[in-house]
Amino acid sequence: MTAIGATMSLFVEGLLYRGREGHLSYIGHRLAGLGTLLFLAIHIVDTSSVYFGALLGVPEMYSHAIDIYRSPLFMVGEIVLVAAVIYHGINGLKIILHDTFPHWWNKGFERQSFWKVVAMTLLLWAPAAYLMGRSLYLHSICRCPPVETADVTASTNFAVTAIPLLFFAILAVLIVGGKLLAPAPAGRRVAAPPKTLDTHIWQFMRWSGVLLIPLVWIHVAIQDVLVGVHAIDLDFVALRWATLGWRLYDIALLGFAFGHAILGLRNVTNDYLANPVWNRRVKWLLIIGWLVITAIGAVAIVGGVMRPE
Amino acid sequence: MKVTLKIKRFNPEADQKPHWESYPVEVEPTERLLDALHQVKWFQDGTLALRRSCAHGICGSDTMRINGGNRLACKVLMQDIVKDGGTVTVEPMLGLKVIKDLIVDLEPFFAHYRSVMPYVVNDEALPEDGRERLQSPEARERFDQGTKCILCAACTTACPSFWSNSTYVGPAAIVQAHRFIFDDRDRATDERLAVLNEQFGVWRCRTVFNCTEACPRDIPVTQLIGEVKRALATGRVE
Repeated sequence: MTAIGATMSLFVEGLLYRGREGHLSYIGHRLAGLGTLLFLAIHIVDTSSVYFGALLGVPEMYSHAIDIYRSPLFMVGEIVLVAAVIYHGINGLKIILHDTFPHWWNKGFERQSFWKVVAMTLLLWAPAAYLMGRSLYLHSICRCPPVETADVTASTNFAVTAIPLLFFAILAVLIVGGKLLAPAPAGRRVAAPPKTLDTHIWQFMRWSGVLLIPLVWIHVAIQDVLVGVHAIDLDFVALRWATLGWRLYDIALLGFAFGHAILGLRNVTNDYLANPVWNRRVKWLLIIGWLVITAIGAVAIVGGVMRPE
Repeated sequence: MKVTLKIKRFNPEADQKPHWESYPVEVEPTERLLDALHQVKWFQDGTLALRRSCAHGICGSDTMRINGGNRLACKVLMQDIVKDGGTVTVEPMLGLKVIKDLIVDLEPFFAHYRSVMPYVVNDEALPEDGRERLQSPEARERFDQGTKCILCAACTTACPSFWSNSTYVGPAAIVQAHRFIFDDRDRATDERLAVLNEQFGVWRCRTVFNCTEACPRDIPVTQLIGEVKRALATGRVE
């Protein structure tokens, strides 16, 4: 117990360390990542009930899950979730850029980049929060839901066009003011040492991170912001999965997002669980959790929406 | 100016856990925190334990958490950290075992330093004149940043990865490794990169940037770590 107490007090002292923007950005990145992971795991399982619900003899399972998401508490949580997803994405992109050009890791640029990330997050989050807050107000507070249903095709087209554009705009903003013009120091080449597991994981986190920005943001923009949880039901899922492209999209999302999340949790485990025995046990749990939840999600996407006879 | 020093005290022979003690001192605004600590130790409470040697920012002995962040007590002017009548908090570095008051056990830190082989390794025959291995000014410039390190441990004990697990090699040792990896006279690049490629090597870096902010020598620590990561990922030592 004393060991746990000591770790906790060290953890708290660490949080109170008077770092600057970098420390804030790190704490924010972790919190946003952990929060998103928690939601993601639940979300994969409950969405899978479109397939498993009927199979298990509980065909109304999915609508139960959606009812919970429609409660005011969860809708507020969803608005926070969108902020987390936006921040984690932009801040991650900043880290990837700085890692690609290490000479950008200098005091002035790092501090400036943090504020750019915060500003862009707020800028993107504001309209999303407005739309979601409006939906929350209409459905839960004044209880006067609009009669017209969400135009899924228009929303999809908008998201698929706008988000790649946004992605490049963010990339440009992060690069502008950087040291792109300053030449990287010259040097020589050596044989790269054999890559270890940690090298591969580090690289996967970066590649998947770049890929996940459009993948996750398009998904979130359509499902959470533009269409909204009140317009989502079994029919909506069936309609989307009628297109092979969206099934492949969801498979990619499942693989990369959940893989990225589990490896992120592996980093957190390594950071805070120094005891080698427990460290190994928790990592095995992570692998098992990853396999089980990914399998559940994959079976549901392949199986599609099952309805009672 | 009259200020209060609030110092975290810990005497392993008497205390269960650390406690705070406050000392009023009168200092010139242009005096350093170290001078204020000397006032406490010399005239108020001789039992206060702290490390310092040169007192001029070169030996790197008096790193401590000053108002919550790692600084050298001998390089911090009172006027920059506190107003008249204010309070300065002083604590030992985080992540290393406290021996007494502001003194921590630096051995894990130096063990990591030794692990990256902080010396030039070159078994090749000497140049024909039998004298030193010459190096171009550009090649010398390439690793200049790392040579400024005074091993004060401010970066390593500012690092969240190191706080939670002191098995992590830490920023200072990576800076030292960088200094030799990027030295074109050195021939042990592979061995050093292999050390940093291990589970507790550079991949534990979460780019928190506390190291760069804490460095009293203005070494761009995160940048140097980034260059080592890139060298590991791509083989480009440039």
